[in-house]
Amino acid sequence: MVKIEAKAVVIFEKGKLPEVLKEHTFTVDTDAIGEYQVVGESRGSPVNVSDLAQTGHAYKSQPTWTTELGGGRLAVLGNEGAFEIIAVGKGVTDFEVGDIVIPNRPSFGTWRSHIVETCEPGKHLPLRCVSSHKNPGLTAEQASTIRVNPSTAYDLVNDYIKDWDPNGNDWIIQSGGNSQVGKYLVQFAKLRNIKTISIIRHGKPDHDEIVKELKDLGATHVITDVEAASDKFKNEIVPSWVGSGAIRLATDCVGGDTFRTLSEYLTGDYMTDPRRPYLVTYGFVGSFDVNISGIDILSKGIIIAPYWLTSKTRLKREEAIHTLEEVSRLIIEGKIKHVPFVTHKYDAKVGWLNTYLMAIRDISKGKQVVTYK
Amino acid sequence: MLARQTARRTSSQLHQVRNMITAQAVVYTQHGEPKDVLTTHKYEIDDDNLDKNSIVIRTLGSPVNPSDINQIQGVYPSKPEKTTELGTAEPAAVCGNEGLFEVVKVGAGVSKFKAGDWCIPTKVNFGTWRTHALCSDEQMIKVPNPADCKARGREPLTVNQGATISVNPLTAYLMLTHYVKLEPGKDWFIQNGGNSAVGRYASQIGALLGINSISVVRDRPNFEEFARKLSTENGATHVITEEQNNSREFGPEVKKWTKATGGEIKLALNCVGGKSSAGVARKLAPNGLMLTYGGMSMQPVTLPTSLHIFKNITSAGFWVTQLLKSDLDLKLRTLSQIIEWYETRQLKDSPSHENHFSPDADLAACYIHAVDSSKQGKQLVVYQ
Repeated sequence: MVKIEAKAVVIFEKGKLPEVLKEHTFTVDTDAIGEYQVVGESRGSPVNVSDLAQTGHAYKSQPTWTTELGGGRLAVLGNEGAFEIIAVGKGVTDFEVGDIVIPNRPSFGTWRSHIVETCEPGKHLPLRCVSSHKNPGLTAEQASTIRVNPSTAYDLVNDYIKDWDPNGNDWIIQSGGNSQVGKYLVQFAKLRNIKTISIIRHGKPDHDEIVKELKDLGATHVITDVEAASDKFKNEIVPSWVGSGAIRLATDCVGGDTFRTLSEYLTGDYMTDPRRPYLVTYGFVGSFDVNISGIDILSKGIIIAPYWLTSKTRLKREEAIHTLEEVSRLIIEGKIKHVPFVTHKYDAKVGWLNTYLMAIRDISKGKQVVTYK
Repeated sequence: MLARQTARRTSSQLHQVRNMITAQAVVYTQHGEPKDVLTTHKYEIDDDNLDKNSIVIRTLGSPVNPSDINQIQGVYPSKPEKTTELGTAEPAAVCGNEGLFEVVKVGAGVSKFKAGDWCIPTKVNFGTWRTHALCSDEQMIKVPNPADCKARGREPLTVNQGATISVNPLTAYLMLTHYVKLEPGKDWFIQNGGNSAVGRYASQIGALLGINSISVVRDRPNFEEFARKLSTENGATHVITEEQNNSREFGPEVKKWTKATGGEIKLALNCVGGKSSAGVARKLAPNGLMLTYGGMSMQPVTLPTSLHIFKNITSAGFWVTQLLKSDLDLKLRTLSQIIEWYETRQLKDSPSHENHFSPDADLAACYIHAVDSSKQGKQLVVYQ
């Protein structure tokens, strides 16, 4: 049919951003694909902080190095994204043209316009179909960002505290309330009748709109980091909200003083209450320390646990797939709202790499997704 | 003389004249600094009319623990109930959590104790700073007295060993055995506060169980000799300074040690906090656990986040009281192991400074003095 000039954002070695990022082109010939190969075209891939971290030496998750795309040894960046199948080999039975698929492994290399993958029936599939003509499911837009943020939020709610009170007496407090994870988390919590306190940064120009958005999504209360750090909120306001309930989970993606502040809000009594409160950290990329009062660890019985999606995907495959299926179901059923993101549409005049560089530039302003068409 | 005999006869229809035991206890009705709030309360124990399951015990020794002091100050989460049971005008609590006792007399229904037996409290908050106690047999656990040890062909338990067995040795043993499976001969644990009482128990018990250890201690002028002593006398496989603990350059050296045994550092014990906790956490293998214990007044615990997340390090508190509160069987099993090691002289107890109490002295004054001396080391009040 056609020879496509495919484009990818790659690195040839680890190094400094953004110089280390290069545009690489390779040819995909849909007429010449193998019996078990499929060709997919990008329908959107986001820029995550962890994608960028893979270009440096400190991050423990490696990008996938390959020589199959020509040009020597290189790694395509990007961990999540959605592709539409545009061609399938004769022997492929798991996918059809028009299917929306997402990667089935971390470090897939999603920052590219096209993918060519071998999908032999009966073998482990590198892709996962999330929507087909016969079985419509997620939209491409939903699928492009389902892997990281919604799954993380779902796991934070479900992996640590297993005996949530169904009657609305249990609470979660979270930093990063305005992040994608934060916005999904309040929704998953609300589905289980868990109340939430979302902490957002003080002094946002659009403060009131953010609060309204978060409350519309299901946040019980939204407070600023300045309020959270104040004695008035610690000793009067939040206790008056929680009453005889319990703040059993705190999730933190900020670190520093926030980590400690969150620990101060947790409810627990190591001596008399067998319910151990959890302080779960996630989404850290930098290398810094967090502090917590030893007195709180002991008197409240706090357990500090990390959450790292990449590790879970590798080590607890079945559980990670279960999460993905549950999250997909809830989104398809409309119980969880897709959280909007900023889209950067590829323009041939701008170039593939430059489109990503624009998305990277805006990363602090919320989730950025690059679409091919 | 005549009057007493008459009195005896008059009351003989009810009972023989009562030979009550005059007991003393150190009590507080208000929280505060020990010297301000502790008083001696004297009361009588009627040992002639014991309930079926009651026992009368006399104290052989009870220590001053930091948590005892924190309880008196009102800053410790576990608090004894204040009651008027002992005949105090206001509700009062008896101080002390650990102690060794000797059974003086038992009620008619008591089969697990006889006079002369040694025992320790089943639970915390018993109130061990007292000369005698009247309690139910359930409230005490039997430990071997010197005659029992001798009958078993073993060395006798000392008063210090019995009086200080419930907290520090149990803490060390349970932290090493209850959470993470450490493979003898291969695996390692690392601990800061390596020269603390729990630290020395942990390295010794590690050695007895075949588990390798790295004890972190503060640097000191005679470090080499000090380290050698911790190794030869307290079983530490390696002793390093806080400076080495915090230095990244020292990491490869530690890796060399673990590589040589084919094991991993799966457990870190932290009682110091701050940089030191980050240092020991950094040496943990993936999926390792850091337990923080005994730090009611310590620095914040520091965790390096990237490592915490990438290595899936979990951090939790350890509190022996909480673990054993609902698991008497675990307490009995653990005690029996520690006692066996004491009797066979394989485990050395952490020494205490002895304060001797004579019955004509003021008991509260004796403990206040011991509290004041606590900075010089653990204090034990020994009764004659």
